[in-house]
Amino acid sequence: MRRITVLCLRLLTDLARSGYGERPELDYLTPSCAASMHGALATIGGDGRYVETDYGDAVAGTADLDRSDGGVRVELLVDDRSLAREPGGPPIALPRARWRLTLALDTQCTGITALRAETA
Amino acid sequence: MPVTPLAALAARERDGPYRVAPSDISFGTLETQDAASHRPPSRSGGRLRTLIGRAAPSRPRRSSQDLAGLGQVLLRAHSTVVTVGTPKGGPGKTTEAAAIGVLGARAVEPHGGSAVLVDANLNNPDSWRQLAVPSDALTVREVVEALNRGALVPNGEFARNERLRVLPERRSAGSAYTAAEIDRLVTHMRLRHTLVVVDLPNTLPSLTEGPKEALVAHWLGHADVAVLPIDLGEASFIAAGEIIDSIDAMVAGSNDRLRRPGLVVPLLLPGDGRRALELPAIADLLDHLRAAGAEIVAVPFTVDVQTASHRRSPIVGASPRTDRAFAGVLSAVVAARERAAAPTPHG
Repeated sequence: MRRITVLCLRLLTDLARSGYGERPELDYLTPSCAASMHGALATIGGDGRYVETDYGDAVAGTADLDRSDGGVRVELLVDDRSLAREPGGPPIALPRARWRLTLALDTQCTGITALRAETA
Repeated sequence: MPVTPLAALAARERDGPYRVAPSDISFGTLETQDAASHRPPSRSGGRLRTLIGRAAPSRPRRSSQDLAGLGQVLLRAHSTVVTVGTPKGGPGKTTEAAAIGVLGARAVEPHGGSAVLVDANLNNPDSWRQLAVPSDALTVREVVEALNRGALVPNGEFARNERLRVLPERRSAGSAYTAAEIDRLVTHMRLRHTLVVVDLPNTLPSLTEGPKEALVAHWLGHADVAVLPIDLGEASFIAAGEIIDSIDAMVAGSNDRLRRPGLVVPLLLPGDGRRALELPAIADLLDHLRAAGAEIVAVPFTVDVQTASHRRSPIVGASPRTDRAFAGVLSAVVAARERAAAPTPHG
């Protein structure tokens, strides 16, 4: 469980920091998965604004440890209360959202082989 | 309209290949309690004010450009563990730890990094009153217990008016931590924070003497930089020398498992203390510390800093002189980190 926890934390932390324009290494994702995520994160910023990422007060998570392929599936429910902001400027409200983040982990729970985000 | 990272991911993955079968059966539950733990420090201070209802952050006295440079070095190092303490109490250990933490947080936060201050003083958490951490803040003991359970844990409380996270110790922390518990805590902290500052108890490291001594040994085993605050008293110099000897003995006996941390020695000087530095005995002692690889940084001993907690005033910002000195200590810490990380020359 600890490896799953650490992986989830790394992913959520990297996602959060990407709002500030940071480009995480994502070495715990498979190459195609990392490329897809980098592509998605590249759409953030570039207009002088950054996203003050706020995942609310609680992330609910469930891990499915009994997959037939030996892997592990993790589902996280995240309340997204992020704001946009220009440096030194006032906050810009963004639509509140609740996301379901679904991760497929390898059998050792050391890497993420697939991920998907959708509205919950 | 800007998009959040998760919204960007959802838009990208909407037609992706990975879908979840609705019939999947759930087993263990991740005990995720606080998404604030996944949130990088806010640049506005708004979250801080919401949490503890205080005024806007005080302005840093050191130029932001200098701090930015230090922050970049720390970011490049990914994570840095700085322990603060010697067996001799009195020369500003807690104040130094708080100042390094506050300035370190200001340095790394604009680059997306974060800093945390860990109180490792078993049964003596009152020292964090000066940072105005709420009495019900998450404690080191609670984090360790959560890690033992495999649960996700929140990041802890912010210091007053600062972007620095603070983990105080529980008032009745009592029993010792095992080496494995400290290992897990350090791994957890390194994953989350660019800078981890640890306020150690006033004792020498030892795995056989008692819980405080073992705790110091465990933390020093993980330190990238050890800060050893001293004053002009002879006992203070002796204490610094003893802990350097202890560190070297630990490293020598570790079969290359441990690396010697960088050493920084802040020297607390009263108003007329500069004259004392010319005394041959003190000059010799300082030379010994330098020969052991320590960088000495003079820190003026001012009433402003001493009374900061009484006045509910921040430690950094109490006086321009001490601010410059604290910034010098942080610079020395960063330089020591770079030296400690550099490959050892051969031949």
